[in-house]
Amino acid sequence: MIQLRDITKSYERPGEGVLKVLNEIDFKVEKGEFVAIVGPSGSGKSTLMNILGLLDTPDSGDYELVGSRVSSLSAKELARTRNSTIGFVFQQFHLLPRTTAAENVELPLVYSDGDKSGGDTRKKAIDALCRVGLEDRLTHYPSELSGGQQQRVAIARALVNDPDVILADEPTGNLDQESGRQVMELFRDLNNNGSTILFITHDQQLASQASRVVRIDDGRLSAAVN
Amino acid sequence: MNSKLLLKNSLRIMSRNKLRTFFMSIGVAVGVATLIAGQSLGTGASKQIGERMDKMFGPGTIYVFSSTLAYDDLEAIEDELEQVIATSPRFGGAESEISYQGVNRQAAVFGHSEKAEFVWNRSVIDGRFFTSNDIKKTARVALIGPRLAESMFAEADPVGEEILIGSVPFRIIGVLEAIGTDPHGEDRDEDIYVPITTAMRRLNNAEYIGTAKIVVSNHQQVDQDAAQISEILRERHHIASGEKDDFATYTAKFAGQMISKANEVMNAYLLAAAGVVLLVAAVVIASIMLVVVRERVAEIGVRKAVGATGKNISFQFLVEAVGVTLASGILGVGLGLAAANIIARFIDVPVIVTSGSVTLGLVAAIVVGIVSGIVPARRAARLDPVEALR
Repeated sequence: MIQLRDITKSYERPGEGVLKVLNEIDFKVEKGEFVAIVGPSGSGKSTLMNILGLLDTPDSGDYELVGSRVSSLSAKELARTRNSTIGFVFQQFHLLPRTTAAENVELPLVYSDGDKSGGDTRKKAIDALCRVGLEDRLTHYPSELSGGQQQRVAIARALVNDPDVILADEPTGNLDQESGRQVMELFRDLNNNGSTILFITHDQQLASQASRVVRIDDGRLSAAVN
Repeated sequence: MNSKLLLKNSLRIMSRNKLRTFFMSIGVAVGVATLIAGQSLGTGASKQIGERMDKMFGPGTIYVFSSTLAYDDLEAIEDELEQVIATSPRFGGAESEISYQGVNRQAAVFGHSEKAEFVWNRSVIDGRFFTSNDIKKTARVALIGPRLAESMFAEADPVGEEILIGSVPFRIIGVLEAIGTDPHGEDRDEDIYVPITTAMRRLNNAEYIGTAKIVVSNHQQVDQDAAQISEILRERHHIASGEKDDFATYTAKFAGQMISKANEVMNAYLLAAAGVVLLVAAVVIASIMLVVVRERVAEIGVRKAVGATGKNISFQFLVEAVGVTLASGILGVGLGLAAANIIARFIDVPVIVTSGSVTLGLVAAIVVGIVSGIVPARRAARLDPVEALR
């Protein structure tokens, strides 16, 4: 499903010279896996996530996603792949304000082509909200929802297009413990139903709920055994 | 991309930002309203002027002015052009001394033919008009304007009385109907008419008539008829090709056009004013849109993350800008019509809305939207999603 070979990424910081954020990363994820990426802040895990999510491009190396070599794709094809293959969940939820839960979940369908955007987009959004247990919050605005509910709306948005993989960047980082627990439970359910999920965390206890944990330190990846 | 969904989406965003949308709308609405109000009042005024000129001149009327216009010229025109119903010369108009039993007045004395009653559309309210016999015989008879008659004869009936024009005695045979003041401010009810032959030979010893009014059958053709009359006059006056006319012809249409010219200048000013307002509106909208883009950085990042291309993003912001300006344009058309109707009540001008001005207003609104939206839209499209989502 996901195969990274020799991925390198560096940034130039004024005064500090070139900073190697990712160093010869080799990483493989199979369909149906539930993987946690752990590491201290500044270890490069967000950059890794952005590269996995096609929001950023590596300086060198090879990335294969669902059978296609990503480095050969145009900007337009990258956008289309993000739309159909990947579902994002962010630490800050990033829901559109003044937009209802159902409308937020509908957002990826706006940018789908052909069959996926066709049909009843609202119905698809409602189905996704049902899957995260928010069928009674369809017309609520984000400001009327708790943090945990907002993150579940965001997860519904990630699910609505039936992506091959869900990428979550510190999904419980802005939540209280109970809401965080519920979100993790939701991820586990989704994984049990076949979704491939990668999430970033710096919380060892959350990471332990994944079926596999990888550690990133100073831009280098190492497998950690549960 | 599902454009219908995106449009719905954008519309909702605009409608939930009412105050900002209002500020973006107001300039375009005022600009388009200025344009519509100006154009519909201008068009109304033009039409009204045209109608007034028609009424004043008579629709199928051609005036000929020339210091070398002879009686024969008019006869030739009547003979050669069958569409000419009648020609009527007019002579003079100079102020002369009028006296009656010690009462002295100054009055403009015109020489007219018997056709003037029909061609100049002025009859008598008492007595009789000239006959062809009066003209042939250079009779010393006169028609007197009603106000002059009142001031000289008071209650008495002037018909049959003898007055002196200069030192020549004339018998009054009728009182002219009142027509009031002409566009130059002269009171035409204080005029004296005498037979044109009498005016030329007995009063002024003149060879040429000066002015003639010609009535043609089809007022749609009046400009072509005027051209034909010019040709006849050029031939009769022996004017070689390339040389200038020694006469001038005027029609109601021509006079109307002269006045419309002034109107067009007014219109151009209004158009320029509307243009300036729209330009300012474009600048205001562009700067608001730039703020909007900065405010919605996270939204742009999310949209890109879920699959929006740069084109999708710029399209959305352009649609939002054009959506607001087009809606404002439609509002402006309504406001302009309302304003025009209110103004029209005060200045007594009809309001005529042309589809051209409405189209121009709406197209201008759309152009303002595109022009003001394009820079913010491009900036939004170029945002790096990683930066935007940080």
